Amino acid sequence: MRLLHDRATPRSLEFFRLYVFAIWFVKILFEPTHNLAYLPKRIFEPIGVLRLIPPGFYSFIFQPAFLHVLKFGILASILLYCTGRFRRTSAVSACILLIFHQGFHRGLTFTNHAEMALLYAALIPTLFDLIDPRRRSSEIPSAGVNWNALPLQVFMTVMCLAYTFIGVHRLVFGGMEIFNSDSLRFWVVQASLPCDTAAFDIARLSLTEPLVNRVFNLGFAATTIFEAATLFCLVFGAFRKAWLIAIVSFHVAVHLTMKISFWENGLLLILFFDYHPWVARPSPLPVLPAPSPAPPPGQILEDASAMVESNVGVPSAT
Amino acid sequence: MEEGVQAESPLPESRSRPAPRTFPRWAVLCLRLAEFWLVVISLGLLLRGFSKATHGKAFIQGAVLACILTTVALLPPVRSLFRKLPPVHRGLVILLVGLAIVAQLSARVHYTFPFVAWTMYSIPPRPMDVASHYELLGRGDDGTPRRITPEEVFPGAHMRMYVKLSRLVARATAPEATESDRDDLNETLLGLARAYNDSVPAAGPIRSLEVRQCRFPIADYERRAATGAAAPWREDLLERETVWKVEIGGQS
Repeated sequence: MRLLHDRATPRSLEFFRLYVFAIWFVKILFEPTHNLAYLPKRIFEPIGVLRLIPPGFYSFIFQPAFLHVLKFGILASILLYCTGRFRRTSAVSACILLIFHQGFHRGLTFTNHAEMALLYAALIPTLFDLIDPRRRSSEIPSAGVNWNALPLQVFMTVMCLAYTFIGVHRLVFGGMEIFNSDSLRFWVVQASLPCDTAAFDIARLSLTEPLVNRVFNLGFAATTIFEAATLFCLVFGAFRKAWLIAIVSFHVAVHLTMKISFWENGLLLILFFDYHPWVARPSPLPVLPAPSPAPPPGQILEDASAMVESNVGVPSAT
Repeated sequence: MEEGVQAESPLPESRSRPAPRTFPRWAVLCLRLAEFWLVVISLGLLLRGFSKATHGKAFIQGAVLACILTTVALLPPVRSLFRKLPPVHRGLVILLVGLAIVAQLSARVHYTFPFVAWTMYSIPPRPMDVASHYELLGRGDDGTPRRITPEEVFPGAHMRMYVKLSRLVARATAPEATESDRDDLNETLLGLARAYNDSVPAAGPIRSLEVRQCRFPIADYERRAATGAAAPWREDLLERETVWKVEIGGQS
């Protein structure tokens, strides 16, 4: 039994941070952020930390120029991070701007969970980088902690928690009714309505073939149970494999039937693999062996006696 | 004299005084976990508000999460790592996990963002006999209808924009709608139309924007399918009705 990512190297942590910032870079680059300025200020409901902004500043924020600056600020911070200069400053500024960007989007529209995991993936390693004891010479790093693994493990905990939240919330609030009723079929039909083409016309099948509907409900229940148990992926490798099969199938099915695809979350599924050997390179830093467990007091005395004997040449007095 | 007695006392100090009472490690761990859950669940429920009918279920949700998370936290690799962490790191982990749980239990994203509640597809929809959605139809100078999707204007947020529009339309078309509700919808549609005209110049500008409600009677379709007279999918059975319209005029 071992924790996911406990073999992370400096290179694999760096790879992950670059990977996450690269996804954000592509996402922001192709987004016309300035278009949000066309929307009326009156529908803006500030959320979270954005509530701290005085309403007097809204007219300033709702300017295309400001939104251009926001966009290019994010892109420049990420680029600076990738070049390796001012890494901590650029990562912190990228995270702050991304939180503002996402909060502004959601304040104007609606708060859903898309991109949230990606936001945590940028934020959590940055926070841990700020308090990394290896960067402060006055602190002695705790023995036995892999500091490269810790940000990945904490991020994975938060990401797994999100899946657990979905499963538990559905089990508690929806109960058995949600799996026994036609709820899922209704959502599939509802989601397929705005689409011009249905990939496999599965929504129609769910209406005309009772068996299809039953398979849908069974899959829904199984997925919910896997979601509720996601946190166990952190420790149990075999469960993680089964979980990946179930959840990847679920994401594909949701895309086919409801045309919903959260590609950002899909790209983060790489974190459910111990990907470190794939990006490994012989580290120039010496790897310290893990400290052995403390011997019992009697053992310490015997060892001390042996040392005295070997150094002085006489039996130690007892 | 007393000093002499003390000096001659054959008993070691630990025997002469009662040893301070220490709790077993597992008891301390349980106490700390109980503290954490008490704070997190209380905070989540307080933020949620006591007037909500779902308060009991939220508490059960908290209890189930406590069982799962505590089980994982007590697994040897997790416990061992947590014990080795310096206080600052341990505090940050507790803070992040705690905030995520509070956001989930409270479901008040207005306070907890960037932590949000993950509650999708949990409540059975009612009624389930008619599915409906809104579509946007723009008309240019020649009056030819053109379907417009929020994705064209807000590619990064089209799902969210669609949900927001649906809510605004539902509010503005409700019998108890206020002038402010109608203004919200009008200004949002105007903004969307202007953004469309500026972003998609090749298609030509639109002069008006309509919101059409499309309804699909599921029960009807099922009935016809059962009798073997299944109608063509969607298009023939969709009932479309224009529920709102704005003229853009020369503002674009």
